[in-house]
Amino acid sequence: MGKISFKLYLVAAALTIVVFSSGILFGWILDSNRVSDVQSQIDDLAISFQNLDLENSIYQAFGNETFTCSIYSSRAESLSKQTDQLAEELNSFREVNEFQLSKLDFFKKKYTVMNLQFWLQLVNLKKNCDYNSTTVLYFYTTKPCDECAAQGIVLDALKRKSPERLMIFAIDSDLDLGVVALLKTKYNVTRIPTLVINENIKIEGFASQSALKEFL
Amino acid sequence: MPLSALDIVSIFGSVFTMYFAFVYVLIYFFNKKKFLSNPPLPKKLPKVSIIVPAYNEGKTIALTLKSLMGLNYPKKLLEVIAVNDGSADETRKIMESFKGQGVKVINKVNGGKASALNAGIKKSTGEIVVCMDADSIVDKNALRKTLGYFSNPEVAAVASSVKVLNPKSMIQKFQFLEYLYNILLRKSLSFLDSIFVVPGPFGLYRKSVLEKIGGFEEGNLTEDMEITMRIQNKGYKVEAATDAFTYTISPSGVRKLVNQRVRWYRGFLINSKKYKELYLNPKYGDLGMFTLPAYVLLVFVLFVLILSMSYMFTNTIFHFFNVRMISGIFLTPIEIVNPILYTSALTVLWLTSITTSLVVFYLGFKVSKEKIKLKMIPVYLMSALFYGFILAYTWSVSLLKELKGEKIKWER
Repeated sequence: MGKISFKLYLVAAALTIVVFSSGILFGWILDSNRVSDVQSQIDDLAISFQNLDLENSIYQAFGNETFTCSIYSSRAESLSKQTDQLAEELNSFREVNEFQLSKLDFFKKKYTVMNLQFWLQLVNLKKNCDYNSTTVLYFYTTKPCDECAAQGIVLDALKRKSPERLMIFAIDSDLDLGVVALLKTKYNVTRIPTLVINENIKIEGFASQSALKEFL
Repeated sequence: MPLSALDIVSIFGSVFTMYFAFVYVLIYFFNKKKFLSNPPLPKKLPKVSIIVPAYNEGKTIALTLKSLMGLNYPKKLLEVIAVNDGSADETRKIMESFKGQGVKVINKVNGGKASALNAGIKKSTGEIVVCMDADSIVDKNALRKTLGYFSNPEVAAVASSVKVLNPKSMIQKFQFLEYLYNILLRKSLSFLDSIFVVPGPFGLYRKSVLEKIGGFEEGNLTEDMEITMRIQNKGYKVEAATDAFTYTISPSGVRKLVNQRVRWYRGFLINSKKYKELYLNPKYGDLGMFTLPAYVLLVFVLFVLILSMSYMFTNTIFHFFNVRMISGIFLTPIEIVNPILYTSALTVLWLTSITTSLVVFYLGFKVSKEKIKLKMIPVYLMSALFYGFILAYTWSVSLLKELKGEKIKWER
């Protein structure tokens, strides 16, 4: 029977477990950090929307109806910036997070509901006021989809060129949410990516920058 | 994102490599003093016979013999036997030019390295036999640093610390790093009585043991590994000297490297088969229960890690360019983000695993008395990317050849 250095192997195993679990712990802390970051942004966004609604109601209550138009159109750009940023974080955090994924999914639903309320307000704004930004519903998936990623880049580039004229509402078509299902049925979305421009023009599959320019 | 199968494999692999890194590092810290020093020379110095087998080594043999002539050891206790294994070049002429300095020359018909070694051993008169590759040179103090180990009567063989001579090409620089790592590894393994190869450049053997167990096995792909495993098998000890440096010429290009390694790794497979009783046999202690099985597992892990890493790498690159091709937009603005917000738990794990390997490499440099050079850092990084890939490829070639039972072409 030869010598077997059990002690050495056990100490090495203990050390590995300690290092591994502190790595996991640190990763978990980073994940929680991201979740709380998103949480606070969602809360901020919710306050922005509620505040807007309240301001609007107050003006309506005091008989100043035309104000609705100016208040929304003046805030649309900054709100869309805020929602876009949040959407981007939600998606990239979902990719890097290993823990608390269900929380991120929940936030995504919350965000989607708020974002689509915003979209509806802009649609009404276009009907009733002198507001002529282009609204785009963009159905995408977080599953591997190079066309979606490419579409994202194209929309980003267009948005950067005319941030006030283009309002993009990205919808994760896999989200288990009634309103998403409703919109998918309404616009008969069968392919990903799909764009709906100004609530009536549907483009299925990838749409290039030049193809989109004529609608904007 | 939920973990994919690939993620789980790479987590397992990185934890596994981390564990082995810790084993080496712990051995180092538990035995720091013994790790960095050698036992003193015996009072009565033994006679030493150095055998230099050579087959068409005309380019390097002069350097080898010259370095042996410079060894810091009493001349009357030193015997150098150069064995010309039927070379077709000027090897013989060069060997004979050293006769004046006391080098004995044996000329024989070509029969392979092991047969040349055996011929030399047969003619030798020393208590200690040193086998010296004809493409290597030795530090002048190497002998004084190694002989002390033989004071322990159980010790049958001592390995020196092999470095790459004048690394010039990128491949040689990669090997330079690998050899430093191996110096640390071999020294660590000596504390587990687990050395399973005494490398060809400057390996010392007790002659009485060689005579008892028979000389080198002729026709074996890696005769140095075979005899070490045989020595272990017979219950003797194998040690590794700390700073007895030898410098060997290493393959300069990928193809030559692959050829050399296919021979080594196939040799490992063949000799593992030959001495399979060593594996998982408590009789052989750490060697049987830990080192050898762990080595096999480690090779397997290396293989899987490299495979999954290269898959992830190519996949990411492909999709990156594919997305840009589709969109027609190649320059997307670079956003500066808070790195902490985008570091995943997996990345943290990778970083810890990389840090432990860095510690191991640092110790490798330290034990080998080499300094980490800043301008070499790109090479270190490149070696992490490419060298593992070459080795994994070579392992698979060796395994395939062995499984197919391809005939062994033994370059003599």
